Formats: sequence, structure tokens, C-alpha cells
Amino acid sequence: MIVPPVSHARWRDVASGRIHREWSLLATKILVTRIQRAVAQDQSPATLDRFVGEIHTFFVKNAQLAKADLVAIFA
Amino acid sequence: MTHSNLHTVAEVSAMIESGRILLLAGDEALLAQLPPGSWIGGTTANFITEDGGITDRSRILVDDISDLVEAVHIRRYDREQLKDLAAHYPQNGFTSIIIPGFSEVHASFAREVQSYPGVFNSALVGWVSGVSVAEIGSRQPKCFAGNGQPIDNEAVVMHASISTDREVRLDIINLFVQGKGDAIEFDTDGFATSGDCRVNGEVANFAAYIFEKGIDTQLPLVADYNGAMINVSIRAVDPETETVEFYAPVFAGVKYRFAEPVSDYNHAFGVQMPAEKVGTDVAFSCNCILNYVYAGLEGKRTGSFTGPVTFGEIAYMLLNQTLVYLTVSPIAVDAGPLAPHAVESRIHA
Repeated sequence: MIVPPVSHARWRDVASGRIHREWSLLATKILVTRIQRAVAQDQSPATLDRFVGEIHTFFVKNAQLAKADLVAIFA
Repeated sequence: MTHSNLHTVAEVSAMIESGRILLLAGDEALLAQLPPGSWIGGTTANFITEDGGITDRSRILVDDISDLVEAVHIRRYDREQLKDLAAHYPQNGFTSIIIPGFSEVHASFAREVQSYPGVFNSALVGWVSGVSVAEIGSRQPKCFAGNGQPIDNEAVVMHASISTDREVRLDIINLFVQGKGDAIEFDTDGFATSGDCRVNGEVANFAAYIFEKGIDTQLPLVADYNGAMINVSIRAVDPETETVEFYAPVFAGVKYRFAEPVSDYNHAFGVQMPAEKVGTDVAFSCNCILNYVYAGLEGKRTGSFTGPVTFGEIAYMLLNQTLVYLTVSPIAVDAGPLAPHAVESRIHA
């Protein structure tokens, strides 16, 4: 499964909370909650970039398991 | 399903010496007698077996995962080393962790695990070891890393690799949902609060709030993590100092509500248990000592899930009053709407 590149704007939407939904996979639920909470407290570009990278890496490593959440992001 | 079964020290020793790969739970005196091998273990006095909840100090609960895994690597981590836990994750598999209850590593893990680099990139499942409720404060929970040496200040970990035609799923069953009461937020992370909180946005004292509202503190605070109900259980409320202690940390910026009461735990487990999981691919599960005590689970079954009764459950993070389970299943052939080509077409549309 091909995961869109880290530069895709939707990753930033997830990290910033602009995409906010009930996720399918437990790991996605906890990870995204933690990241959106952190970004709410520090909205600097550097922080956002770091968390965008973390989310992207998570989906690259879990593309099969998290495919329902991946589809939800890019649908 | 890998049912947990109780065995004598002699029986477990024979399994270890025959090369079986085991996740163990039992009394310290029993685990300390076991020979070196491919096993990790933690102390507890209570178990959920196929016959129901049981207290047993003469036998060890065994989860034999030999037929599910290809290779395992056992390590010990102190609180600093734990931050690099994910660097040792298997390429395809899961990581099982046991942390000694009431230890520094327990506290630091609970506060910091969500920030460990890459911690969500593979399944992290496990539990916090305990003792019998009557021995809390007089006996230290322990864990074991493949030999009879008890450990009280490090986490023990089994990194387990599985074949590429199988996949791991980690999930929880939480009987509690957020009630319809007030929204409670804390300004700082931690296992305790001086009492400062905000109730529906207004500054308040949490201990005073609990007394004023007559809150049943057997009910946890529940936060909604984008669809996952995550509990924080109340350990103590001091009316004089107006402080409140928790069994897991609360986190700033998270909105909590006290849970709706659960009238019948056994019925609720039956309702919430995913039917497709019963009798299939559960490799490990555990449940909370608070559920065991508050719901009187001694002698009662909680569906078909078996495993140790713990002082904290771990599914990526520390949980309270929650059943955690891990499945290892053949990868399903996917021809449905979520197939890879479908994802790509939606992305590029």
C-alpha cells in the first residue's frame, strides 16, 4: 500500500486537529489524541513538522493495519 | 485462542526446559524457582481462568505463545532505557512488557510512554505486576526476565517476531463510557492533584467536587481518545488536604467525565466482547484488579478472555479498569473497498 508523502497537506490536518474523527485502530486513536493535544499547546511550525513526521512514519509502518484510518484521512 | 492455564512449578519448568515460549504470572516464590529460558513473568495473586476469577498462590498462569511467534528477544529496561523501547521493536510482531507495580519505572512509564519515539509503530501490550490486595504496602510487586531473579525496578520485555503472513492487533474492552456529567480538566499531568481543576471551564477543587457531588470513586474518570474510552481510576481522596491520587496519570488538556455506572459487569463483558474474537486468535489478555475487586469477579467468568489480574493494563499506554487483548491472525486477503488500489485512487482523485 502506498502511503502519501509526508509533504501531503492532509497529514498536517490530522496533526493540527482539522481532521478530527473517531479512528478505527487503537494505536491511531491514542497517537493522534496525544499529538493533537500537544499541538494545541504548541502550534509552532517546528512542533507541527515533528508531529507530522511522527504520524507519517506511523502510517508507513502500519499501512496494512491502519488502512481504514488511512482511507479516512485521504477520502 | 491461547487460553491461559494454571500449572505447577514442575509443569512450567518442564515447558521452559522443552523450549516453550511463555508469558507467566504468579507468586514471586513460584516464579523465582523457574529455570532460565524463553519466558517473562510478573507477580500477581489473582487470575481470570476459563472457570472464572481465582486467587491461587500454588500455581502459575501460563500463556504459551510458542506456536504464534518465530523468535523472541528478552530485555530489561530501566526508566531511561525505556525511552528507546521502540528501537528494539520487531519488524513484524509485538512487544510484551511487564512493569513492577509501585516502582519508579512504573510511574515514569505511565507519564512518558506516549512520548517515547516510535512507541505506536508496533503493538505494545502488557501489564503492571502486583500482589494480593491484603499485601499492598507490605510486599513489593516483581517481574522476571527469563530467569528466577526477581526484579523490582526495571521493566521486562519480550520482543516477539511473527511470520509475515500474520498480523497483530491490539485492542481494549472498556465497560465504562463517559457519563453525561461535568467536564473535568487538569492543568498539569500526574498521578495526583493538589485539587486544582476546572469543572466545565470553571476553577474548582477536585476533592471538594467529589464530596459535594457524592461521586462514587469506584467509577473512573473517562476520556475520549478519538473513539477509545481511556480510564483513570481514583486511588484516594483526602478531605483534609483536598488532594486526589490516581492509579494512572491525568493529562493536561484532556477532558474527563466520570463514568456511567455499570450494574452488571459479567453481562457487560458479554455484551462488549467482540463476538468474532471469541474462540479465535487471542494470544494474550489481562484485566484490572479494580474490576476484579469492585465487581466481585472471584469465581465469575468474563466471557472467554483469560489472563492475569493486574495493577495496570498496558495497550501502548497505562490503562485502568480495562481489559486488554492481543490477537495474532493470518493476514486476510483483501479484495474489498479498502484494498490498496482503492486507497491510491482516492488519494490521487
